[in-house]
Amino acid sequence: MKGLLKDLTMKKYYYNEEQESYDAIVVGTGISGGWAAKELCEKGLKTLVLERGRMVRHITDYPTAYKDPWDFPNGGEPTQEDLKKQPKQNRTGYTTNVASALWFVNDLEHPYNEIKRFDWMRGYHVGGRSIMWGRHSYRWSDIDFTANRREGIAVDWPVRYKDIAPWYDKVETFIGVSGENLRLKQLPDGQFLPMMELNCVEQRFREKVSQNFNGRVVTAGRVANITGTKKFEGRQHCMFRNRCIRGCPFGAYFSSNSSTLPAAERTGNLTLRPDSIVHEVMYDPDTKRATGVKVIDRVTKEAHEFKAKVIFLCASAVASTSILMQSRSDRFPNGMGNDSDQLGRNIMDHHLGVGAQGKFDGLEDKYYKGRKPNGVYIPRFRNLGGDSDRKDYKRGFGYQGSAGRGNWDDAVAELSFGKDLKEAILKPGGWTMGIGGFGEVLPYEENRMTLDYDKLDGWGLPTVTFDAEFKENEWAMRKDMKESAVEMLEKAGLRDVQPFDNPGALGLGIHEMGTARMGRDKRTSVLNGNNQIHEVPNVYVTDGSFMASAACVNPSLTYMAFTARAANHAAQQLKKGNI
Amino acid sequence: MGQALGYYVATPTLIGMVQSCKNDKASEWTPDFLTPDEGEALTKLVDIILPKTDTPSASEVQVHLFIDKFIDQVMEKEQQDFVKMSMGQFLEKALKDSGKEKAGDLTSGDLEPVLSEALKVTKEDDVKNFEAIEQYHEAIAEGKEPLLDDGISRFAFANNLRGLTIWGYKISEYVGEEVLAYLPIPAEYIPCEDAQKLTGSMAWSL
Repeated sequence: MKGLLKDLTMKKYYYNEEQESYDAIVVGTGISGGWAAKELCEKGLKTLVLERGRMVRHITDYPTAYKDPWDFPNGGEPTQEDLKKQPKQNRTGYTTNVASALWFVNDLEHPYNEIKRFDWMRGYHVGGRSIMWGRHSYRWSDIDFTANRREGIAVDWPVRYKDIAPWYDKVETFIGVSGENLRLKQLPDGQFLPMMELNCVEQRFREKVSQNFNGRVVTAGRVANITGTKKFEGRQHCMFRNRCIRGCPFGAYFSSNSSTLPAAERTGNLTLRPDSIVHEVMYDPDTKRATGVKVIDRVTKEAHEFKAKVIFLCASAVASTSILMQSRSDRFPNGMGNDSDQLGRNIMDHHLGVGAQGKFDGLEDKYYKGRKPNGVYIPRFRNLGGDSDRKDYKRGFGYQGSAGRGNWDDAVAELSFGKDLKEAILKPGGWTMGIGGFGEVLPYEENRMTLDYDKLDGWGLPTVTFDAEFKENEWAMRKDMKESAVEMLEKAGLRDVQPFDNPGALGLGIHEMGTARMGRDKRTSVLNGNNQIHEVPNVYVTDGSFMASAACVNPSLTYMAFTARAANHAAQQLKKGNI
Repeated sequence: MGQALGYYVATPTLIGMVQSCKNDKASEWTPDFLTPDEGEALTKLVDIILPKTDTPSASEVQVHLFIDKFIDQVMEKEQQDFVKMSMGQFLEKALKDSGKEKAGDLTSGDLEPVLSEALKVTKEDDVKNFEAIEQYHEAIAEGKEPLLDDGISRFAFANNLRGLTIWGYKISEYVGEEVLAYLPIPAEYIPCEDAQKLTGSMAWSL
């Protein structure tokens, strides 16, 4: 009994005991970290995975997973007291609902600085944002990979679609993505489970858009939820509860916790140490290699060092970049791998919060069963050549959206109050539909993050300062995003179509990326085409840091594919003795 | 109370309870944010908005408690001030029209006509009202003197109250599980089917 108690209170290492040294260290357990852990472990490497936040065990540690609105105080709305701890996280307007607030940082414990407003949304725990992510998973095409080169913007990607395609195949097959193939040049097909069907109004919208807009397509979102009958180890098919953000007791959507970390564990090669804040990669100037990492324990504040032959930084773009910036030495006075001075620069995101919604009359006798954690997706239709090309902005955008019943405005206005109103509000309500765009943000050198060594956090580490903003291309694109949304909804027969345009700031898309970009030339990039730091080939960076441009699609699938590719490259390089 | 009367002999020690039973007070609840009198009025108002039918009234599923707590804990100070101001205007009218002095003495009969008038707006007035309310809030933000027509204040209060009452009612446990169609784990998705077949034409609660 005493031993069990000791185990529960003192436990620092999971799945294996502490080792003298490791073949590999992975920093971070989110979307990319989980994949690095899985691939490296499966290649036989003894891997130490370090997560700065607390342990989160799949299913056991999802406290809000089954709660109904009446199980939360105030219907789940955060109180003013709650919001004192999450004023910046609350900028999203939804993450701070009590059902999900536990996954987002206490802003008072994790402050950052803003020269211009930047919305940095994250949580620190095993699984990272793979617990809260929106699950939309789209491949890049060569239209995206070649855009910088064709337009003379930033630096050319050192890879092309054919290099990544087999890794997209591998990732989709392992994680499970539902969707349909469309044979679109701008949105490559994939390995899909059955798509989630469109409801009555979404289906109608799909038909009307196809009829009225040449070549434009409406499909279901390609979401990493299990549909159909294919089996996934330790996971079940989606139960259509739409509570993914809370953690899924069925493991029905992809997260590190439900999927990649268990796979890593099954190899016997995984050692996981939560509460481990990595703050520096150690460098040996004689071998010109990294030797390990320095850690501060989140709880005890004790210092630790861990050694390994290869390091994977997967802490998320801002965090991995911070670690590199903090890894200063005589060889790298401006941060490890920063000969190019590009570290921290070119920060991108997707801009969103622009679109339209409207009401649909009819289909009053129709309804749906199940709460689909998904809706429609409209792939990019601008700047693809010919008539689709715009003079007012470059690149493009896609839309996500959905239709549903739940509008009682008209009943309320007509019936006012009393028993007739009561009867009306207990019925399904009118149909509405809304779509919101996700737009590509260009890489601008001056959009950057730096570290402030005068403002230290509770662990004595410098805080991040953001100096980045949307610029002309983004604003021009948003105008079209808004107008196109209105146009499509109206053509589909909706009335009272109202546009919305709430740009917020960079970061609100929660797809921040680009701060240690890859490129062909070490003078203008931090990483090479294999995600290795040009000058330190045994350090791989495979979270959003590596992105040389942003495209307009949700990036997580791409992070996973590049991570799997890089991990396999690292294993090969180690075997050959090259790193 | 009725049960107590039937169950026990009305001894002198119970006379206090019997007497309080004869008052019109709907509850002995002490609100967190509203004054006791405002709480009395709120309890009656939510039941005017969503009265008892073959399903419970709003107060029967504690919507008045929910709303008071929501104002107290969730609303920002500026929103709370607006509720106080607009509710004040609303109750002032009810007192004036009924000739009463204490808001706690207002009956449903006193409150209903004020509610009715406040919510009777044309679509054009609706737009004008919201513009006026927006200007009121902007004035506060700019540190200027905020002004809002009394009638629009009453509308704002009534409209906000109605919204909160409907929401509070529908997310109450009883209504969510017993009145609306409750299905915590659907296990499948049927995209387009007859509402009558799926839920007897009731709304899903979740």
